[in-house]
Amino acid sequence: MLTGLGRLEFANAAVNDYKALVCCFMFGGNDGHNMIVPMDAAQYNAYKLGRGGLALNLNQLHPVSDASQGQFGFHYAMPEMQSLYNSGRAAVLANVGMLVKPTLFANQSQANFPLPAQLRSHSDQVVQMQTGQPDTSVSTGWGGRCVDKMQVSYNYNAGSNFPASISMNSPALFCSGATVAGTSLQPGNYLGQSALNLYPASAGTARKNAQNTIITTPSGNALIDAANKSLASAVALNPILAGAANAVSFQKPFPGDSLGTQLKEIARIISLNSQLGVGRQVFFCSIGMFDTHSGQPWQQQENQKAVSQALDAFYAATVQFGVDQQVTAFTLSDFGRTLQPSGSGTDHGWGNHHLIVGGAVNGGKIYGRFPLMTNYANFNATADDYSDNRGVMLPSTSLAQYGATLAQWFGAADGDLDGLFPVLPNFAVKNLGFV
Amino acid sequence: MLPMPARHVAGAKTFLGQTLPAGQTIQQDLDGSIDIIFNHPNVGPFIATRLIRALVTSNPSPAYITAVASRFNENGLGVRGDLTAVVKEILMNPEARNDNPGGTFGRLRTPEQSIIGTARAFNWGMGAASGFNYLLVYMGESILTAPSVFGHYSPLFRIPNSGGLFGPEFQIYSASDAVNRANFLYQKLSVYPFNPAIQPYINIAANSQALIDAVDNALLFGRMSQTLRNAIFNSLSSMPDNNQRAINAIYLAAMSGEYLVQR
Repeated sequence: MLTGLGRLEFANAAVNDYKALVCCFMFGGNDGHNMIVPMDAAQYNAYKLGRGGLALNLNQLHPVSDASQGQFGFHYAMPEMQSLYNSGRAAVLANVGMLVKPTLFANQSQANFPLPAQLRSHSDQVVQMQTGQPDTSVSTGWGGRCVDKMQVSYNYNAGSNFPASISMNSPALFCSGATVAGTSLQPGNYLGQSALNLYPASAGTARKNAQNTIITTPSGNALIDAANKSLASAVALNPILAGAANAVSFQKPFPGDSLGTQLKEIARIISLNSQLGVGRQVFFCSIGMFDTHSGQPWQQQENQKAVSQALDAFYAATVQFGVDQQVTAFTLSDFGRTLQPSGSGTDHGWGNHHLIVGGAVNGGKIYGRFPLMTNYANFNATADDYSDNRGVMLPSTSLAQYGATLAQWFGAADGDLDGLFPVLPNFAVKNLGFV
Repeated sequence: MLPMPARHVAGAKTFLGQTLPAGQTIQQDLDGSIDIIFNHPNVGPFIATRLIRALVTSNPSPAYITAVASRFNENGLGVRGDLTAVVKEILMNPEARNDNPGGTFGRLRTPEQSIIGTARAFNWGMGAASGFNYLLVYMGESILTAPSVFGHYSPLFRIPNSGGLFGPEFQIYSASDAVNRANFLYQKLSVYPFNPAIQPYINIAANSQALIDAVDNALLFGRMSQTLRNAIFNSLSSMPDNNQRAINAIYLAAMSGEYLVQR
C-alpha cells in the first residue's frame, strides 16, 4: 500500500475530502474567568472587585475585541491566542456548559426542572462532556458518534484501515462510537511488538509470520476473529506510524511538554490522511492540572501557556500541510470555576469559556453571551448570568449546541444533529456559527 | 444519600404502574420504590443479560436469557432475586457448557482477566499492582478506577463491522490496546536470563510436540486449533534456544484470539 516510506509526500494533503475534529480536554476544570477577561471599565472593575487577589491587572491582558460584546483580554500567558483571534482563526465561545434545556436562575430551585446530573462532580462532568449528554443515559462519545454518522450514512473512510477515532495516551470515551472503537496511540509508540524484535532476525521473521497466520486465518468464531483483527491492525499500522515518524518536519516547533507532544503526533497523523484514505477523523488529547483549588496564579500561568503554545503550533502545522481549513481544534473542560476566590484558588463551577481554532473558524469573535461582571458584583439573579453568588456561571449555551456546530461543520446534516445530541431539540439554535 | 424532608412530597405516588400510599416516611417511600423496581418484569431479563455478558458470552441466545431470567424471577423455592441461583444457572446452563459452541459464542477477556488468566496458567506471581497499574491504564482498565458507573467500557458496545454483535470488552481492545497487552506479556516472559516460572516449558522445549501440548493444556485446556498448533510448530525451529522456543509457544498462544476470547 505505501511505497517509499522514507520519503512520504505531503505536497497537498487537501486532495481528498478530509476533515478532522481535534478535542483538547483540560482536565480539572479550567478557570475561564481568567482566560478571557472583560476590559471595559465597569466590567473590569467588577471583575477586579470580585476576584480579589486572583484578579489579573489590565496590563497583564492581551487585548482583543468583540464587535457587540466589547473589549476583552486574554490571560498574559496566551499571546498566541490573541494573535490567532485577531487574525480571525480563533473564536471564543462564552459561558457554555451542560444543560438539559435553557435554564434560568429561578429554574434551579424548581422541583421538577431538569438539570444535568451531578454538576460540579469531576468524574460525572468529564463523562458528560464527552458523551454530550447531561445524564448517564448515553455511553458513547459524541466524537465517536460523529465518525459513526460519517461512515454509516455518508460512506467516509470506506477504503481505509487506519483508525478514524484516535485518542492520545489512553482510551477516551469521546472517541467511542457505536460502530467505531477509539484507538489510543501514544506519541513515540509505533505499535511495535517487542516480541518480534528477536535475534537473530530469522527468528523474529519466523515468529512474525507465525503470528500473521494465526491472526489472519478465519477461525469460525466472530469474536475470535475480531480479537485477532485488533492485533492485525496494529501489525499493519506499525510500519505506517514508524515510517511517518521521521518523514515529517515541522516548520514551527511544538512545545516539548505533554500537550505539545500529543498535538504534534496528531498533526503528524493528519498529514498522512491522503495516503491512508481517511476522510473523517476525530482526535482527543488532554492536559491535566486545571483543578486550581490553590496556587491558581502560578498553576494557571503554566496551564494557559501550554494550551496557547500547543494550539498555536498545531494550527501552524495544519497551515504547513495545507489542511488548515479542514482541521478544527476546540477545548473542553470538566466545568468552569467560581469567580470568587477560595484562598489562593477557586472552587468548582459550571459554565465556562472555550476556544475554537482553525482555518475554517469564523474567528475574531466571542460567541454566546458573556456574563456581565456587574451582575455578579451586585448579585443579580434575574439576569441569569450566574448560578449563585460566588460567580459560578450559569451556562447560556449548551454543550449540545457547541458539539452540534462542530458536527455540522464535520459533515452532519441538519437532520442528523438531534440524533447526535439527544438534548439538542430543547434548544432553538442548533448551529452557533463559529465554524 | 441523605433524606431531604423539605423536598419530600407526602401524598400518594404512582410509579411504574404501582402506587406508594400517602403519608409514608422518606425511608418507607424509598424502600417501596425499590420494591416496585425490583418487582418489575424487566428486571430479570436485564440482570440476566448483563451477568451472562460479564461471565460467559456477549451474545446469549433468547433461550439462555429466558432460563436465567426465570431463575431470577423464582429460584425454585418461591424466592425472587436469588443471585446464587441466577449465577448457578448462568454457569451450568447447557449453552455455557457446550463443548462445541457456535460461531458467535464467547466473550473477550478484559486486560486484567487475560493477564491474570495467563499468570495463573503459568503459575507466576504478579507482584504489587501498584507496580504495573500504569500499564493497565494504557490498556484502558486502570485497576479499581473505572471512568464511569458503566465500568471501564460500555455494556452496550458492539463489535464494529460484525453485523451488530455485542462485544463490550472490545471497546477497550483497539490496535494499541492489543499491542500494549502483548508487550506486557512479553515483558513478563522475557526476564533475563530466563523467567523461572516457565522453566518447566523450557525443559521440554526441545520437543516441539510436547511443548505445544503443554501450552495447550495450560492455556486452552487441550482445545488448541490445528491452525494455531501448526503455526507455532513451524516457527519453533527458527528460535535460537530453548528459552525462546518456550516463549514463542506461550506468546503466540496467549495473544491469539483463541485464548483471548473466553469460551
